Amino acid sequence: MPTRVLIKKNQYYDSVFLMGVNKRLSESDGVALSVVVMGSEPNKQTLADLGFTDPQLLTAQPNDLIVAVESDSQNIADKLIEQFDSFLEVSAVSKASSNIHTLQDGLEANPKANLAVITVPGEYAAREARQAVERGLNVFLFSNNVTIEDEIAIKQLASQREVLVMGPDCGTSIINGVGIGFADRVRRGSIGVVGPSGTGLQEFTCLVHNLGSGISHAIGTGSRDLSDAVGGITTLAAIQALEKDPSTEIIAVIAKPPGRKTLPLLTTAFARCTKPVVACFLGVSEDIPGAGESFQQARTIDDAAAMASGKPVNWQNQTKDQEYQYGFKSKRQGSQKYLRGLFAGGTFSYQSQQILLSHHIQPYSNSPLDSHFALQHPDHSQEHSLVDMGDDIYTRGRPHPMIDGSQRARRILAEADDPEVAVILLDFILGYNSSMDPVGDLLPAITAAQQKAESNGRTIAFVASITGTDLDPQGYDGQLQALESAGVITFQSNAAATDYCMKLLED
Amino acid sequence: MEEKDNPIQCLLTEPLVAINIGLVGFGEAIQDQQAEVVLVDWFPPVGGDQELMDILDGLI
Repeated sequence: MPTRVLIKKNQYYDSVFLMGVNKRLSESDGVALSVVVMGSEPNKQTLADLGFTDPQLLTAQPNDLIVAVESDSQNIADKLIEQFDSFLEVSAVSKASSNIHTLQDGLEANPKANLAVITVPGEYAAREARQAVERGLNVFLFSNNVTIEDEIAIKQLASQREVLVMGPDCGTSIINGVGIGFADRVRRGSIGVVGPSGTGLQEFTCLVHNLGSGISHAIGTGSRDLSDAVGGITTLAAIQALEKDPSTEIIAVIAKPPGRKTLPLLTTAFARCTKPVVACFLGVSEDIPGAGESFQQARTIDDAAAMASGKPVNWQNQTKDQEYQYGFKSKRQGSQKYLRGLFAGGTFSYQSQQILLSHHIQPYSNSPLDSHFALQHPDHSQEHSLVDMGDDIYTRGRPHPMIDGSQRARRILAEADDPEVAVILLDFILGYNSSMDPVGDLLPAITAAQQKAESNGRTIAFVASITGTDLDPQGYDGQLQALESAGVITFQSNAAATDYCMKLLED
Repeated sequence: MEEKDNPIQCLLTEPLVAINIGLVGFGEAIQDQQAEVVLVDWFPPVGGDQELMDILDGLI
């Protein structure tokens, strides 16, 4: 197929901005494939892997913009490249134009700064974070692909300078009521929370809000902080800070199981803490030493929110779930045996696996609790499968499913073709920086999947959770109504939605 | 004499003032919440040349 490549020298744009440009370009008539990226070595390799062999590509530098188009005809490819500036201009509204180009420039512009929010590509992220720590700034480091050695060195330096490094790979924090990264708008209150997972923190803070309580701070730590290599440096510093913080009365920790050597460091910190602690380690079924004495142990994020708020959770009344349950069971065919969970939030894949296991059902996953049950290929479900579609394999060079639903939409349609599928479980995550209409992004696929199954004499149950609040920019009620109008049974939490799937699968 | 708060404690008790380096949308979302934020129009230093960056860091 004809291709055409354009290099625009010294025009740097961030990756999310370029994904938006590429989305519009790819929707043009006659485009088979388009790529709009900066000229970093990994990006050039990706282009080579995709079959773009134009020798110009070898000359591209990290500050150069690359546009590559594969099209039905050379004429169309040439035309799109000639008109490319118009795609950039439509998207360029939010491109900052300023003479502030470095952290130092930023500090000179506002010397009161107390946090650096760093989202640059991974190969530059450690450098920027180190500079921020050296200048006495706390850091929110969203970037991933930072080496573990760099993470340890930066966090050790941060300990010396008494600053907090949230990340790398930190998706969510809420500091003093301000959401950073993928965060929901929640009521302020007295519950402080710490955790490595962005969606785990989002779910917890939303549930606390929806129970009528509020959040003092939510501190993301980065996905590897509780590994034995890092030893929980940020988590321990955050617990200590929340203990001293006058607005925090209760501290919650939401995490996957910590490393073996790191767990006792945490439980010792809980025992020393003068404020009540609630700890939820997803995937841990046994009691952790000290549970019930120096801290309360929660099994799910719902339990943690209920314990921290002092209010029981009962999300079951949200929909006419019982009525649906009986109706579905009467229509379900004998071949329809399996649940397929397609998640934007990795924590939800994890928590749903735990809930299935508690029902003595062993699911498969691309991010399995037990490595024996890893999917042979993440694109192909086996039996009960719970797929983390925010996993690196789906997000390398492509937008995360919290921003763009296209990959999940395709997967929904593929699952609907499988005559053994009975239930499809989804999550919808609202809040800052997420898609402004996550439900709308997937509704056409849900409707098409339902129709496809019906035409084959089957009914597939769609069950979903919405992580969000009435204050979120997307509008919670509108998202809920859109799902319910399409016949999707919707819950306020992933745990409640998964429990409901278990009821649907009962004989 | 009362112990002076360290930068972490100050972060939790004082108004947030952020310097946003990278994705513009992240900085704009903070602005939307009425917090102060400086938007850095970032691009890879010294053309993204890692060796030159190391030399530059050594000089600083």
